[in-house]
Parts: sequence; structure tokens; C-alpha cells
Amino acid sequence: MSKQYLTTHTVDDAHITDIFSLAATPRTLLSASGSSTLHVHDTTDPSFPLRQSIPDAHKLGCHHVCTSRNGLYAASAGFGGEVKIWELNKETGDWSSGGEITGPTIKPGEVWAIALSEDGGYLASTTNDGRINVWDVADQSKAKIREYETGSAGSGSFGMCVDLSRDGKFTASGHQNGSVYVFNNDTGRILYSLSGLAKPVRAVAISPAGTRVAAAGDAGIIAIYDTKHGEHVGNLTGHSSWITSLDWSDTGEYLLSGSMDGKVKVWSIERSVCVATHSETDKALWAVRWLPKTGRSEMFCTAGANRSISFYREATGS
Amino acid sequence: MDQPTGHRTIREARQIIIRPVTMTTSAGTVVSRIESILEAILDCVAQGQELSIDFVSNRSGSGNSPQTVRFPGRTAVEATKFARILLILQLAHDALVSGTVLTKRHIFYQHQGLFVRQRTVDELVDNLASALNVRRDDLNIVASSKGVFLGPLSIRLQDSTVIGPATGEVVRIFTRNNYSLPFSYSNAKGYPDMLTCSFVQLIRFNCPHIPIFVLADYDPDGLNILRHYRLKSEIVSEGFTAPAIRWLGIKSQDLLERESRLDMLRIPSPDSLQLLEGQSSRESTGSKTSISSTECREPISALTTRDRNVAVGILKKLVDSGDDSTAVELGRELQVMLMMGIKAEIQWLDEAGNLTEWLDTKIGQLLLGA
Repeated sequence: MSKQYLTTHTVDDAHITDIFSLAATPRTLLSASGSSTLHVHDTTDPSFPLRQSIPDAHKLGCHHVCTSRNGLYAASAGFGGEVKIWELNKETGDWSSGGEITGPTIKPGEVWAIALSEDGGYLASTTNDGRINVWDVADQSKAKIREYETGSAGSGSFGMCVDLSRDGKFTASGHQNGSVYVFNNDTGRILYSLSGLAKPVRAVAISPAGTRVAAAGDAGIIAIYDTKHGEHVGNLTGHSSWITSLDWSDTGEYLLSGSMDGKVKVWSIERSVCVATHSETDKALWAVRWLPKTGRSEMFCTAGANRSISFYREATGS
Repeated sequence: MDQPTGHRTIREARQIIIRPVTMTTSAGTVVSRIESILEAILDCVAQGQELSIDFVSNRSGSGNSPQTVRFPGRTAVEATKFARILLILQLAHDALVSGTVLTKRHIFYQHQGLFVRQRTVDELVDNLASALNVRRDDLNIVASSKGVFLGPLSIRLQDSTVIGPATGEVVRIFTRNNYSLPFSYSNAKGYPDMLTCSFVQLIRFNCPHIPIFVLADYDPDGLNILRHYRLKSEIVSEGFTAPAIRWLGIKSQDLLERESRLDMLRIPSPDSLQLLEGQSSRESTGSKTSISSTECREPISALTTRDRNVAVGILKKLVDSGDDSTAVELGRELQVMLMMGIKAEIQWLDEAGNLTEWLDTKIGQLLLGA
């Protein structure tokens, strides 16, 4: 049985250049692009108006933005190598600077993909040489508390993507050479080294319950692994282009994927099938995200090279 | 120190000495010289004999001590060196027989895994030419073709000598001393030197009806070269109206159209799915290609840390240079390159299809669109 989604709204030219990343909170959507400004869109209003614009966030543009599950923190990583933390003011609903990760432990170009823990206390980031760093961003000093090596020291493969499990137990990373790693954050060790994709892994996502890891990239396949034994439990096939982005629905029943040919797909995990395919553009999608369910129906959004953000809503049966 | 004795039990060793004979320049002579060397090598292999190649180089720098390279090699270094020499001999032979001209740069980029550094190719080619007592050009191998022009165009130099028209052969304009400017710099990266820039400017202002296009590698250096041509020439030309230097490619869109679409790729079997990355996999694919092959290989590769740093450096310069449309376009391309994590050489266009057709289409589009 397929599912029906409708485009409810498209914010045209949401940025003046390609949109590279999206991150949702219960009431807003943050977007990052090749320009220096971050945008905050109000997702409670059907026209998704621009709620806040954060100028000069990243001088050379921003490639990744992420939020904490509780919606109170955000982090963004720029092409210049800088990582900034943002805090939500609960009274005004505005975002303001919560500092920057600096100091001798961070070198330009060292940070690529980023992910925040549920409470926003920890930030995981990938590096050029395949390391995964975890930072204590709640603390004033924003110190590096973990450093995972993949491969021999300093020679791991470029870390293209990273995710943290909701319970904070696991970190997962995907690499240019096709490797996927799962780390145990309690012990600070590699738990699994997962193979199977053999081509650059552009997206990893840990399911809400922390039981599954989905990984995808240039192989065009979404590989699903379990986190209990590190077993490869299935593939989702159907994309005909590189997959750039993955996101689990809140319940873990569905997986959202976006690809370079502009197609976004919704997959049923239980049945291992694609239940919906949409595209508003044939240009690359760099980010696809579910919006946290706030009543009504499920919604997701997509953005990429066409500089617009499209919002989709599940069509109700009747 | 004693060598391990295991290697000493080889029956009969044979030596092939590449030494200067009479100065020869005819292609036929060079071809037959190379063939006799290759034949001798084949004979040795067929008879299971050890063979060694002695270079007797008469270059002043390297002294006159012969270098001996044996097969099978005693060490990995020696084996590699033998493979390199054999490959260059083979490539020179193919080029001479087919009447084509190879560049040292081309040899390196087609076989990066084997040569590792451009310098290795340069030195070996020079040594081989020297050992064969021919000029490097006689092997149909030339230096990187920087500052080459081809076409029905004549240049009159200050001393009234005329170069060109270059309709059939390639004329390297900057090897003539007469065309002198106060200073010139060049580097192996393909950045335009002063002479090349001034040559392009000359054409822009004197022949405004000739459209100028740039075709560059899709990598940080390629885009930086474009930046040099476009942004630097704009400063000079302020106040004049000269046709813009237009960018043909390779752009991210070209890559996306052909490369990210899985249905257009030859999908290898899961077992043979090897990673794009890293020297080791590069070398393993290298060993599978035919040694006589001049075909392109790995024209697409992962960005290195250096590439990423260079790209960020250029992005900084572009941001500082303001809202110029070239700067905006280049910045966007660099960002997308960083996001994709890959780069492509011009040769990729040939691999993915046909360079000539591609050029016809792109130039047509740009001319009609203008």
C-alpha cells in the first residue's frame, strides 16, 4: 500500500544559493546554504514564513546545520571550518549565539558533518582523516571529550556524515570509502565496522529506538543494520542516483531519503518497500527532513540546488 | 653485505644496455631502437632469464655511472622502476607509430599509481631520451603543453619573425626567446604564466570577434586557474569593452548529469566494487590495465585534504572579492565540489562520452545563448 503525500507549500528562493542542510525543531525549520546567513522558518504557519534570519553566521557559507531533539539547541558548521552553537530563547522564540568551538583542538577544515545529542549537551563531528570527535558543548569550555579513530591514526577515510542515537549510547559515522562505523559512547570504543556499501556513504541515521542504523550514498542503496549485533538486516533499493540525506520518522516506521536527481522517497521499514516518491525538481536534493509531528498529519520537507524548500503533508484517507 | 643467496641461482643473466649510439632523429630509427629493446626483454622473459637494463646516461648531472635495473627486481623499488621504464618505452613507441604526441603530464595522470610524482616521469623520460641519444621530442613526448596554440593564426614577433599558422602541428610559442617579457613565472600546476595571460589579452583586445572559452579540470586548481583568467583579466580591462572569457566547464552540473545517475553507469558486480579512494586501490586497478593502454583511468577521484584546503583558500579570496558574478559562480561550484567530495579531470569527459561532441554541444550552447 502506498502513501500519499501532497506538496503543501514551496518557499521559493529560500536562500540565494544552494541549500545544503536542514534541521527541524518542534516549531521551526533551520536552513543553511552557500550564503553566510542562516534562516529560521516558522513551521506552525501554513505559509512557512521566515521567522528569523541570522546574518554572517558563516562567512564562506554553511554546509551542515543540526538541532537537538528537545529543540533548544542548534549547531552549524561552515566551509571555513568553524562550528557555532545556537541557543533558543524560550521566551522570545529567537535563536542567539551560544558560542563557538575554538581552541587548539580544532583546526580549519577539521569539522565536516555534525550531530547534536537529544539534550544538546554533546556534539559529534567528523574530520577529513576519518576521526569522529565528541564535544561537551554544554560546558563553557566546549572541550573535546572523545576522539574515535577509524583506520590507522590520521589516515582514516573522510567522514561524510554522522549521527547520535537519541539515548546518547551510540555514534554512527559514514565515510568516503564506504565504511560505516558504530561507536559505543559509554566505553568510547568502536562497536561495529559495517561493510556493504563500498561507495561513499553520504548519510547515516540511527532509528529513534536506537535499534537500527540506516546508511546510504553513492551506491544508491539504503543499507539497514541492527545495532544489537551489527548485522546487515536489509537493503532498500529504488533510487537511481546518489543518496544524500536520510531521516527516520518519529515512530521509526518510515525512513525518508533524498537523492541527487531531485527525488525524495518514503520507505516502510516493516515491509522494506518504497511507499512514496516525489520530486519538485530534477536538481540535487541536499537535505530531506521530517517535521516533528505536532498533531494533524505527518510532514516532511526537502531542499537543495534549486534553492527552494518544499513542504509535503500526508494526504488523509478521506 | 651479502645479498640473499636465493636470488643468485638464476641460470643465465642477460644484459640489455641502453647506451648512446649515433645521434639519430628519424622516427623510424627511434621506433626500431625501442622495438629491439622490447624484443630483447620479451626474449628474456620467454626464456626465463634474468635481464637487466643498463642506462648509460650522458647527462652531465647524473654522471656517467650506469644505472642497472633488473627483472625480476631484487626489491619493490627496482620492480617499480622496471615497470616505469617499460611503460614509457611502450608509450613512446605507440606515440611514434601512431604519430601522436604525448605530454609528460598526460603520462603521469594516466598512471599516477605507478609514478606517484610528476617528477619521476620527467626524470625517466629525460634519462631514456638521453640514453637513447635522442631529444625528448624525438620520443614524441613533450613537456606539459602549457602555452600551446593551434589554429589558423600567425603571430608576428617583435623581431619580425612569424610563428604559425599552426594548422596541423602544435607550435609552442613560448620556447622562442625573442618573444620576451620582463619576467615570467610558470608552474607545473597549469596556472597561466604571464606570457599566456598576455597572449590571451592580446587576442581579447585585438580580435574581439574571437570568443574565448576556458575548459578546466573540475578541481580546486582548475577553478583557480579560471579565476586567474577571469578575475585578473577584468582588472586589466577596466574601461575597455572586450568579450568576456567564458567558462565551458567542467562544472558540477556536468558531473551530476553523468556521474551520479546510477542507470548510466556500468554497475560492477558487488565483489568487484572497490573503493574510489586511496593509493592501494588505485594501484590494484592500475595493475589490471594493459600496459600499452593510453586510455584514461580514474578520471574521477575523491578530494584530498589538500584539495579541500585549497578550495577553502579560494573561497576566502572569492568572498573578499565581492559580488562579482564570476566570483559568485565560482564560489558556488567550489562549495558543491566540497559537498560532493569529488573532482574530475578533463579526460573524464572522454571517459564518460566523447570530448569532441561535448565541446561542440557546449560551445554551441554558449555561442547561441550569448
